[in-house]
Amino acid sequence: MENVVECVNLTHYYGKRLIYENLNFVIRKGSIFGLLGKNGTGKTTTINILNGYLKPKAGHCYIFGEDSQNLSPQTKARIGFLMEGHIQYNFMTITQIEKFYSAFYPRWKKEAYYELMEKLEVDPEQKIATMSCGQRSQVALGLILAQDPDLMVLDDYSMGLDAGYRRLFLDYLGAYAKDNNKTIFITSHIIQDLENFVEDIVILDYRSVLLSTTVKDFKENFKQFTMKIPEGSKISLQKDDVIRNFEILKDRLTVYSFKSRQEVENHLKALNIPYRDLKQVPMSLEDAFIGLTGKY
Amino acid sequence: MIVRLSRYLLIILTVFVAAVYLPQLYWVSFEPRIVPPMVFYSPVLEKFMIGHLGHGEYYFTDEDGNKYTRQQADKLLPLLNYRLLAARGQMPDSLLGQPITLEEIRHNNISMRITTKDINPPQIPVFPLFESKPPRLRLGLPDEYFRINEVMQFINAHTNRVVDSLTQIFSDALIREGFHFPARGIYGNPTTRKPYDAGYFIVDQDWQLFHLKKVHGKPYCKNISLPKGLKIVWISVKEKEIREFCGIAISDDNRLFLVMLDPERLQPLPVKEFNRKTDQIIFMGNIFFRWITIRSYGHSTTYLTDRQYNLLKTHTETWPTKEEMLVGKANTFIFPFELTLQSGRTYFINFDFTSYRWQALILNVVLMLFVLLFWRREQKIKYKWLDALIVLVTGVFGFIGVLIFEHPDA
Amino acid sequence: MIRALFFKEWLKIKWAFISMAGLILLILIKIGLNLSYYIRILEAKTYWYQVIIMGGIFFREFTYIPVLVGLVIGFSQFMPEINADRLKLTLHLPLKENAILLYMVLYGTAALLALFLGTYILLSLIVISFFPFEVVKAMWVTMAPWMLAGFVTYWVTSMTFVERIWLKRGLIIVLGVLFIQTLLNNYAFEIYKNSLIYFFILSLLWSIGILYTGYRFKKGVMK
Repeated sequence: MENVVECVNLTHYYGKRLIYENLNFVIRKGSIFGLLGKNGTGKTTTINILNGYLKPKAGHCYIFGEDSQNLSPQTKARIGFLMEGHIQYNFMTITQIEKFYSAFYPRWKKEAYYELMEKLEVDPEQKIATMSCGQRSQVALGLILAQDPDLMVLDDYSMGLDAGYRRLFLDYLGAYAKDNNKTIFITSHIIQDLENFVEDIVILDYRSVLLSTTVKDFKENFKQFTMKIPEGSKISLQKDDVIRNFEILKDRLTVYSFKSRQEVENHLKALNIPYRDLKQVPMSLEDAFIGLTGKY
Repeated sequence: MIVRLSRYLLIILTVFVAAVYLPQLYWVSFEPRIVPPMVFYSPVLEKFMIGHLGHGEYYFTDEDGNKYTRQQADKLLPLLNYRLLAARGQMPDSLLGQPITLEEIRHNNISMRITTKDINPPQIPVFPLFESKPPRLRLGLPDEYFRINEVMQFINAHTNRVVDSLTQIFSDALIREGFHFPARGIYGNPTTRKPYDAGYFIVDQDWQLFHLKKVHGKPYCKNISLPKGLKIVWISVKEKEIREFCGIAISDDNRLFLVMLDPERLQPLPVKEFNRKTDQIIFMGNIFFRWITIRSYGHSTTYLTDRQYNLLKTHTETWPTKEEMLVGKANTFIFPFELTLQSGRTYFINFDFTSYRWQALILNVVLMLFVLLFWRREQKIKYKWLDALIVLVTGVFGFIGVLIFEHPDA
Repeated sequence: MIRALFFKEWLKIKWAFISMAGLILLILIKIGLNLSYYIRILEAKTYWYQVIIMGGIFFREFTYIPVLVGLVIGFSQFMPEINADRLKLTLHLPLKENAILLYMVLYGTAALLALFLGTYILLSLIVISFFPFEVVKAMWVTMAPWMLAGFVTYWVTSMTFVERIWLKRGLIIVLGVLFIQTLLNNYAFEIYKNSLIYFFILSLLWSIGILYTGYRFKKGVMK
């Protein structure tokens, strides 16, 4: 199976501030790839590098085999790009914008666009600038579906949208991708929506790449254990290779780990932690994400 | 690639802008006031008298170097200062053995100045032909203006239409005198503020010179015979009270002539060196003499003649130019060249480059080394060689350009 | 595809273009009325003297109008692109990025050309009704550098919008203003007669400046 996107040793700084070093990932054809991370961890940076709007300090990204800094027009036609905030040409009406884009993409599917537009119930001569956030996201979605690209790059599709529109967006996108074996690259900081949507993920944290895996593996291997400890006791606990992250709230200690339950218990005993009632708690993707990256 | 080209074009533009404005800024800050001396001739001493502006004070020297205060000089230049001397009761009643009256002095005093700006200035080639003998003595604007292409065409200003009758009459008059259309030059003094109207002097296709006037509504036209090969490229027409001549003509080989009237002829002036692109003509005269000063850059030569334009004496003056002063010298070490768009020499906007200053190479090399070694150190030298070359040649101008528009892959 | 690009550009500049055309028309009417007024009140021969012999330029308003037009068209065309980084969408279209930028500038330039040519034609018609043809010719040569200044203003505006760093924008603007000033002298007729060709060539150098700042935009130069 070919790799649609291949990023090798991406490193970038903003001035002296390191964003990340040696980010490596691969997006296989037909997969749905999510780049997760809190705000400021480099998601938009990565999108910009992918689209050729940022030259990384080191490393390369290859899309359909071409260096992302120098994409040929033919390759650009195969990539659908959604900008954060569903930015489009606000000065156009929905008819004008469809007419505009259709001239550029040979595979343009007008019906895909107008199908969505009908649901919108807007005047065809209405300027996009006067539409609400949700309506604009529909327009952006319609345009990207009509383009019929092989790869879709979506930078935070969720910005400014309420739950209904967010769900609609993902439903359409998911159905479309599955039907046609399309590849999707998506970033977001709203994790809960993505749980049933993305397959592969990379999790970014400040200045580092935390994890590169599949959602399935992540949820299977990353565990949350809760237990009781004496309230107010001074426990010295640190993050190590067993305890990936932990939290103490009153008399409850929560430990996150990739290790098995037995290993975790052994580790706690070795550290002389006076715990009791240890339980493993199943996590959603969002829980796991917060567990890994912390609440701050 | 084209982005690099775009950058170099921007650098060229920066060099242009800097070469125009930086020297301008420099001179606005440092330009010294230079007042060239003014040359007169004293009939009393029978020597040239030169007026200088010293430190805020006007003083005179004579051709032998003696100094005079302004007061002292007044009496030595009686024809110039006749009103002042008469008011003081110091005016002699004869000079050089000849009795003179104040009226004669006034009538014969002439002063004309022709600068490089006056020669071939911007001019729309449509002219008013005045009536030379106006019925009410005052000169007035005519209703028709003329142009000379295949004919001499008159256009009525009010209707903006050709007046065929005038066109016919005047064109015929020109043709009768041997005029070959179209005109190369039409020279006159189209103002009503002059003692009389001398009409126009017109040079035809074959470089013949014609005098044209409108007298009682009818054309007066005369072919002024010229020595073979003489090509007149400019005539400054100035009608003075004295009707001896009405202007100064310049040939393309830079000879000067006085345009004499009754009859019309060109009187050669004994001026040896004149360059109409750079020199000023100051023509002065009185009852006894004429003296023509040709003022160049940093030096002037004055030719003294009698009333028959025979050369009597010459005198040369020099003065320091700004280039010879410290500010001028310092300038050549900073700017490898200057670009002036508006020189004082013409009304036109021309690209006026100074010659290249090799002294500036010292600074150029320093700037070039800075660009090569210190600026954007991470860039390899082999990518910077063209930048360095630009800075080497254009100095501080290219330096600014290279700094502002950094290499796109920097 | 290029037609679609031009369509987008037209949508952006439509109102700017129309309003500038309207402004030019109003000024032309003003000049026409003034001419007929002076010819009537001063008498044609006296007014001809003021214009032809004294060199009075009766269309001085047009010294700065092309600069204004260049600014307004430039703003209307590029402000929406830079707003929210929409230029990223534009450059993502399946064409070479340099080609996209050049087509955009070409369109704006063509719009300016249309406005300026229109000005020339209409003003010539007005002038020829009052003055001999030599005055019309003098008017063409006199206005040419001001029109050139209008184009340069547009090219400088477009490249400045695409540049992200404010310091660099400032430098480009300063450079542009200084350059444009050299084209805006209006103290006599036809003073640029000898140097117009050189100014024309130099001005053209500004037309592809947007490729330089566009490249920097693509690289994501932020500092």
